[in-house]
Amino acid sequence: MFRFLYSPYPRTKEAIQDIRRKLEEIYFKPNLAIFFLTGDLINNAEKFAGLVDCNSVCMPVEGYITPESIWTRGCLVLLMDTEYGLHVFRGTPDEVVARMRMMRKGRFNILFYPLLYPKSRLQALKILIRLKRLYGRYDSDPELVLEKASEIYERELIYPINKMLRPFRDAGCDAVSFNIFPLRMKYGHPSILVNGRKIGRGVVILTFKDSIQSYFSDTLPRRGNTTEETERILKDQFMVTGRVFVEKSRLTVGHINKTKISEFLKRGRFFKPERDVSDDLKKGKFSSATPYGLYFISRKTKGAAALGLLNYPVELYPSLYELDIFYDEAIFFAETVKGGIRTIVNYIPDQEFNFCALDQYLLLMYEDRIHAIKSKISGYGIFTSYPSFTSPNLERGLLSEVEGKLCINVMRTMVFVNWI
Amino acid sequence: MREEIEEILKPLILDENVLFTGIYTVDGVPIYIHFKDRKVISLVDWLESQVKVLIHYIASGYFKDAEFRILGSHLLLSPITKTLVLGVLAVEEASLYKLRIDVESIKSEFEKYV
Repeated sequence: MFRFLYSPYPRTKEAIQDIRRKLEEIYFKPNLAIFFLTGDLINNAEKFAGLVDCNSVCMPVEGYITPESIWTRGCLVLLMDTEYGLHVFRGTPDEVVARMRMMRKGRFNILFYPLLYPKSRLQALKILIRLKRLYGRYDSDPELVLEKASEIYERELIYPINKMLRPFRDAGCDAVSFNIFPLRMKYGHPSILVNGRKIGRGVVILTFKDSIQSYFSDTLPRRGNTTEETERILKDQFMVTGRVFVEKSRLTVGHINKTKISEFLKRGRFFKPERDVSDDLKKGKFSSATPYGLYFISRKTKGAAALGLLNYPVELYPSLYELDIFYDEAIFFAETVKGGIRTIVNYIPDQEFNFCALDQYLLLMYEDRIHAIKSKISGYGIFTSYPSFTSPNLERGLLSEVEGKLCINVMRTMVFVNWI
Repeated sequence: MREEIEEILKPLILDENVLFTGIYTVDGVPIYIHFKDRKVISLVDWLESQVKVLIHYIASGYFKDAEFRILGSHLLLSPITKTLVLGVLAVEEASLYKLRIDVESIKSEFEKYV
């Protein structure tokens, strides 16, 4: 049994009053509540958690969908009475993945975790200094430097999306990954809370015993059977300037075409990365959006995943997923959606689902025109950072299937769920 | 009616980045105004004189809506029915794309009453 509630009020006090009033009309006793909070509401998430007398998970979202409208303020609440398990694991990716392999999984699972978690200004400055020092040795031993940088990113900052989903893929169950990376970031964020307590750098897993119908779309055409075919498909979809050679390791991109990333972008007259990572994180202005990126093609499946190149001059650039399964040659592209919002709408399934999670960049790209998706979405939904997915029953040929039965991308992905 | 309008506009009124919310008829007559700072009163006066012209363009189909940048703030004018226009003044730091999305939702709320 489930029920959605929402309040479009941007202030905590009024939103809580509104939700409290609506909770009184609920005819069942929920045993799980998920709060999707926009804007600054996440800073008072513990007050929302206090509204319910059951386990709760709070996560930040950029916006949400209701049967009537789309809001970027207020909150959406999912209340459930169901058989589920709630797990919280903290630590490095290796540690949490080991524990996820051991844990009892459900037929359907949801992961909530901060994709990138800059704990504090001190930690970020330390990392930046270490990366700068490492880069000084790049010319003499690039492979070692890239591997060391990957170790830093993994130990301190990033939960790689594909790595996090593998335990569920290997166990043959369905899993949706809410790999949270808000459009505007600051230190100590994104905040994810379980029962009103911040988990910091950790992963929350909800496991559901029942099989729950789900559907994933990467809103792109099917992948090719060969690298050349996939490349042709990408060239047809995006503004592509060409193939580039990328020096990379697990989680780090070094040089592109033998030059620094910032130099490569400057020479190509795309943009000159010049914002200060530390300052932007301090002011809450760290932007995770960019129209430029690299598309990597998978050695394993010939599928592909993008990596955005942000406006920050970082020589050893971090990847949000493990890169070792991809070819060293990538495609440099600028994001466009051929056919505009209509293309996105066409990828929304005709079958009705009562919940969906859509890529947050759609809000940025289409602004008020995003309301066009309402023609095919009649239930509730959220806008979050590009949900990823694994399922033994995955549709064949998805472009974002970069490993067997595992789909990731950092743009345009959507997941649809039918709660029961 | 005032309470109903206020209820629909509440998501904007409660936003600290929104300085002024108003609804005007096609003649430029304000039927609802909410502002948080007296400093915007002069702007509201100006708006009343401008809104007639803008509504003419919007009603004739030349403009879908209108946006202005004024002294550190943004002004959005958007028709909510054939005879009413919603005006929202937000501080410069406000996220405009979010405001545009939510104004669309507010317009659809108004449509229920028309």
